[in-house]
Formats: sequence, C-alpha cells, structure tokens
Amino acid sequence: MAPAEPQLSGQPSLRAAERDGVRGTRPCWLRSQTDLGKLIAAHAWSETPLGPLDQWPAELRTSVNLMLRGGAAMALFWGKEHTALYNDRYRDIIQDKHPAALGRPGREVFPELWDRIEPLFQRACAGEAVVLDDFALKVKRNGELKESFFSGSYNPIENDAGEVGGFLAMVVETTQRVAREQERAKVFDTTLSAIADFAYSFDRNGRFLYVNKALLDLWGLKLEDAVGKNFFELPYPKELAAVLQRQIQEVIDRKTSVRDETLYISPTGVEGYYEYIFSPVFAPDGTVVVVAGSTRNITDRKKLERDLLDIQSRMDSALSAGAIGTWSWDVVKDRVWADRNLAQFFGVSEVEAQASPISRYIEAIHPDDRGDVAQKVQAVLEKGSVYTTEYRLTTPEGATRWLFARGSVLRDSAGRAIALPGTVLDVTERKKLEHRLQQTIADLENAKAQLEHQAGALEQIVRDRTARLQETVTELESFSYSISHDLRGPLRSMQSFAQALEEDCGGEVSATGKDYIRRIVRAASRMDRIIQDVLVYSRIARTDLPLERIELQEFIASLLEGYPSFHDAAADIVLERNLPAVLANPAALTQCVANLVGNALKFVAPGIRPAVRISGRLSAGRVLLTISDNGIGIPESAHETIFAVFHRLHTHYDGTGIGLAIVRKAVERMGGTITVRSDPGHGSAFTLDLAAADPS
Amino acid sequence: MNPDAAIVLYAEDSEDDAFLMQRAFTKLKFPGKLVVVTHGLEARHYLEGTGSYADRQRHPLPRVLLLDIKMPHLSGLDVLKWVRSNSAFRDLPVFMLTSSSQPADVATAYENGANSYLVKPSNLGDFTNLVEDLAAACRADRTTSLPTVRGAIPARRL
Repeated sequence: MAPAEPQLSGQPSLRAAERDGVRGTRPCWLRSQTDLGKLIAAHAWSETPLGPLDQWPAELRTSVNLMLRGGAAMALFWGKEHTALYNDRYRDIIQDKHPAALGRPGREVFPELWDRIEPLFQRACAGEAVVLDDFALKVKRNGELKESFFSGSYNPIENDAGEVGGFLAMVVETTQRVAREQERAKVFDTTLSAIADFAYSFDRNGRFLYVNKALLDLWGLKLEDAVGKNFFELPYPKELAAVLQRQIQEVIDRKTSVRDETLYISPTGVEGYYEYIFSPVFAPDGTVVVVAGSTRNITDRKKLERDLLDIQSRMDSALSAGAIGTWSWDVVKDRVWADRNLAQFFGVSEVEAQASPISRYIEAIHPDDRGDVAQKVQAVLEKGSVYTTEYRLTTPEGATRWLFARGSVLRDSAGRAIALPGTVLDVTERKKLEHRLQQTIADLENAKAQLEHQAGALEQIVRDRTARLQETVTELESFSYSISHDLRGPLRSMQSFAQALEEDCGGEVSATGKDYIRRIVRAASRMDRIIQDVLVYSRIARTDLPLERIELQEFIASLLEGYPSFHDAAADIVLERNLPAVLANPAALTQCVANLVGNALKFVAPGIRPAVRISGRLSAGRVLLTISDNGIGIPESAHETIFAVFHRLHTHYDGTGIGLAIVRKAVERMGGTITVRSDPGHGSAFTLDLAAADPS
Repeated sequence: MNPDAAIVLYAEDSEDDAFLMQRAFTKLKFPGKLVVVTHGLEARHYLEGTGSYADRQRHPLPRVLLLDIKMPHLSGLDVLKWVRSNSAFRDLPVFMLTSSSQPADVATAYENGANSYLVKPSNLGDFTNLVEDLAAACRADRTTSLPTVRGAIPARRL
C-alpha cells in the first residue's frame, strides 16, 4: 500500500492512480475502458473514506459498473461524506470541476450550492428517491457562477441488510431547454399583451398564473401583484368573485369549458360587459393542470343587443296589437299568402289566407280606392321596385279602416316580377287625426277670415270716427276763431263807445253816470282778457308744440324787452347771467315766462316795489328755470289749486284765473313740470323743469 | 279835396270800428283822409281804379293800406296777396288791423308781405296811439323804413 499523500488537489490523486496502475493492482471487477473507468481504476482510493477498490462493498461495485456502463449522466455519492464518483457524461456536465471532483466529498465538489443540495443528499441517503424537475442551481463552472437547471433523480443504494450506502444521481441538464421555454413564455406574454382581449390562466386552486397586459391595465395592477392571487384577493365584488371561483372549480371537476358573461366595473370606474371562457388545460394523464381563460369586452354588442331587443319588443307589440299585417304575393301563380292580421283586415278566412288570387284582396278595397290600387299594383309589376299606397277598406263589421301598404317587387334574372311581399299598416287613427287637424285648420282659417273682416270693419269705424273727430276739431277751431273775432268785436265796441261817451259827452253825464261808464269799461276789458286767455289756453292745449333749442339768456332778455309793461313798471327785474340753453317751444315758453313775470309784478303787497329774479341752472340733464318774487306769496294749501282753470286765489287782484293754468299746460305739453315754493307774505318762486338742450 | 292830403285806405266791415277809427282821425286832426271800404273786393276795386273808383282824381291812391282780415267777399289776407303780386303796389305800406291774434294769421300776414300786424285796440288810448303812428308812417319817405307802430305783433311772436 502506498503511503498516504495529501489530497488537496486532483493531481496527487492522479499520480497515485498511475502509481497503482503501474503496480498492476487493477481489480478484476472494474473493467470499463471509458475515461472515467480508467481514472476510477487508477485513483488512490485508499486515501479516501472509501478505502482501496478491492475492499469496496458489492453494492458499490455493482453501482459503479452500472454507472460507467450507463448512457445517461450519472454520479455516485457514497458514504457519509458523499464521496463523488461519476461517468463520462456527468463529467461533461460538471466541466472544470473534473478531474478534481473525483473521489472528493460532495461539499467540496459543490461548495457554491451545497446549502441547496445537501438536504436532497440527506434525503436520498435516508432512503428516499428524490426527483429533480428543472431544479434551479447556481453552479460555478469554468470560473463562472450561472443559474442552471437540472432534472433527474437521486436513487438510494442499499446493501443486503437494507442499509443505504449512498445514492446514484441520474442527472440531465435542462438549462438550455428552460431558457428556451422562458424565452417562449416571454414571446407568449408579449403576444398576449398585444391583444385587446384578456388572456390569463389559473392553477388548480384558482390562483392566477398568468395575466396579460390588457387585463392588468383594467385592474391597474402589475403582473407580480396579480400572480398567485385568486378573485377574492383582486378588485372584484364578493358575489362575482364567488361565481368566478366556482366556475374555475367546475372546469377542473368536469373537464369542460365554461362560457358566461358579466357586468364588471373596474377600480378605475370603467363599466363594461364582458364575455369570458374558462377552458381546461390537460396534463398527459388527463387531469386538469391549468385553467386558461379569455375575456372579451362586449359592451357595444350588448348595447346593440338591447336596442335590437327593444325594437323587437316594439315590433312584437305592434304586430300583436294587430296594427301591422304582412303578405306575400306569388305573382307567377297569383297566390297571396296573408298573415292573421292581414286576413282580419280584409275579412279573409284562415284557409283563404294561405292562397288566394290578388283579386280577392283588390275586391275588398273600398270602391273609390280600388281602381287606384289596382293601377298601382300593375304599374309596379311592370316597372319599378317599391309599391306604396293608401286605401280604405270596409271591415266585416262595416267600419271603414284606412290602410297604408308598402311592398317591394322581386324579379328573376330576366327581370320578370315573381313576387311582391310587403306590409300593411292600419293608419285609421292617424287618418282620423289628420282629418281632425284639417278640420281644425279650416276652422282656424275661417276664424282668421272673420277676424280680418271684423278688423277691417273696425278700421273703417276708426277711420269714420277719426274723420268725424277731425271735423269736430276743425269746427272747434273755427268756433274759437269766431270767438276771437266775432265775440271780441262787439265787446270792443262796447268798451270804446263807453269811453267815447265819457270823452265826447262827459259834460252831460253826472258823477254817478261817469262811475257807471268806468264800471262798464272795466267789465268789458276784463271779459276781453278772459276770452283772450281762454283762447290761449285752448291753443296751447291743442296745437303742436315742436321743441327747439332756445338760448334762455337772449330769449328772456328779448322777451322782457318786448313787453313794455315789464320794463316800464316801477319794478326791479333781474335776469341772472349764464342761463343754459333749453329744448322748448318758443311761443309756449314766451307765454309761460310772460305770465309768471306778470304775476310776480302783480301780486305784491301795496306799497312794496316788486322785485323779480329770473335764474336758471342745469341739473341732471334738465334745466331748472326759476322766477322768484317778493310778493304776497301763496299758502301751501293752494299750491296745487292755483294751477286749475278759473281758479282765483285773490279776488282783489285783477286776473282771469287762467294764467297759471296756461303755464302748467304749456310746460306739460313741452314735457316739463312746474313747481312752486312760497313763504307767504315774503314771496314765491316758480320753477320750470324743462329738457336741457345740452344735457351734459 | 286837398291833393296833397295823404289817403289811408281802410278795409273794414265793422261799422263801429270804422267809426271809432274815423273819430280818432278827426280828434287827432290827421293830416289826410281816411277812406273806408266795407270789404276786400271793394278795396281791390279802389286800388285798381275800377267801377265807381275809376276817377283817380276823386279817389287817389292811398299812402297806407289798413286791412281787417275777416271780411265778406275777399278777406284781408287775400287783398294783401293781391297787392303784393301787383308791381304797382309792391311798396305800399300795408298794416293788418284785426281782432284775431291767431299765430297762423300773423304768420300768413308777414309771409305775404304785411308791414305790420296790429290787434284792434280795445280802448281809446290805444286807438289814439295807433293813429299817431299811422300819421308818422304817412309822413315817412317811402324809401326809408317805416316807423314802428306801437302794439304791433312782431313777425316771430305769438
């Protein structure tokens, strides 16, 4: 036996093996000529817990031979330290771990993944057959640590006593296949994410395995948030989640697809109708391993369906109400098929309705309409496609019914009419309404004509009355002209001759007679003034008073100048400066100012020198023209009545009682107002409020 | 008949008014003669020198024409229009003397060339003033403007 050598690397072991070989101690049980067979034979096994080759137990020897002869990649991990032995194919897997791995403890062969596989080694050594299925391991090979996948099994090896000495690992590396599958899954996800439908799958517990992007977007979740969850853990109402979970279970149990539709409102508030199918995915043994699902948004279709249903139900109600009848006329055989409603309209029996000549129906039509319908039918058969007409029928009960018919001609390839199917609508009610409407329109037109006639009569009346009124006004005008001329003439004569009597025959008249003469003169002159004032008043009230711009300053100055009584009087009349311009009628304004100034001069206490002040100012687009005096004043109680016609406040002052009435009428006719303020005993102030010529 | 005496032709249908006017002429010793005609047509005949007025010696042309407005046959305004349309009388001073102070009458009178518009006086004092002013008008040279007559209604007043 060779002295033990340090076992820190593969080289010394190799040297020991060569040495063993040189010594020709190759045991007869190991005859494999594979690379590893030779290497195992040459290995310095006495330096390992396994001891020299010839002392290996029978089950180990058998297993080594089995391994070396086998076509699959196999390794034996023997003893407490899981000392490694492997064949050529296994060497290809572990790559640069060979040749150092041979005869070394498992822990040293796979230090980078020992914590992952030691539990499996232990289980195998405990007698359990361990299966690996795409088992992921980070293996260090050729200096590179890389995730790799393996499938296979660890098979315990027992001796005759049933003790497990180690295990045979049969391993296939699936790294490339897994990578391909992962790549395929990625393509698959990319593809499914591009479609608008929802695609997803569940495991047997109803938990999501896969969810495509469309559904994730609807939920507002990421794939990792959804995978592994069931409907109860996702944004679904409890009732809906329960239904869906139950349907998944149904697919698994019955191994058939489930198809259904549901309303769903997403967490983002999108409401929609969805149709979905859950389908089973079978394992080779026929069990359901996965449930695949797809869902389609059918909101639009659902709406169409609802609309269609609505139309259908209305159609149904129209048909069931008997308002629509349908027919089909086989033109070639002259056979009309009619439905129940149409048969009823025409009073045709059920048997007749199956096949009757068209004449049977034409004859039932009201005589007045029959010819027209027959003509239209003929016309559409010869040339045309659509037939519409309205006609009357007398029902079996004797009532008149209005029908609206519409049909379309079907022709053969030669253009020959072969059939005329169509519908008939009962429009009796509509006709009645139309008739009533026409009646109403006629009534209205009648009423309108009557109204127009009456309006015309009224207009004539108004014209007549206006003409008569005009006549009256003209008469009145000529009457007032007569008053002014004819009445005043005699009056003037009375007055003048009374004066002449005094002048020419004064010597023959006594003092009493002279007094009488004076009284006659005074009364006549007063009557003359009254007549004049009445005429002025009626003229002011009656005639047009067109307004024009008047410069008050010059206007009043010239007015005062023109009335000798004003500047001759022993009075002070002050016209203030800067009077504004006013919109007024010159004649009417003259009348106003003259009357007011005249009053101011007249109504003063005896012995007082009259003082009149005329002022004017602008106020809010109006001109306020004030004539104030130092006269006897007017008690407040008379402020309104002084403006009335023939109202005289002071009988001992000369006056007609019309002056202020004229002023007020004139001011009002010019769109103004007049107000009075007074301090009885100290004076009055009359203010005319008139439109300003320059409002600003 | 004094040929230099100024003639004032007065068309007036009121006898009273004519009398009072004549009285004032007499009282004031008017330097001329008041000729009264009782309606407009007669005034026109006088001016035309037709009919009984053919003799211009006996019926010389007036220096001033006084016209009432409301008269039979031809109104004062009609006479005025005729006078102004006749070139011979274009410069004849015409005074309207009327009881009407209707603005329409006043306006029509001035529009048709009246020299003044007077409302008939209702007392004798005013009559006197009027006749004094008439006398002044008769004395005035026709080429100069006429003196104003007291109490006349100016052209653009009520």
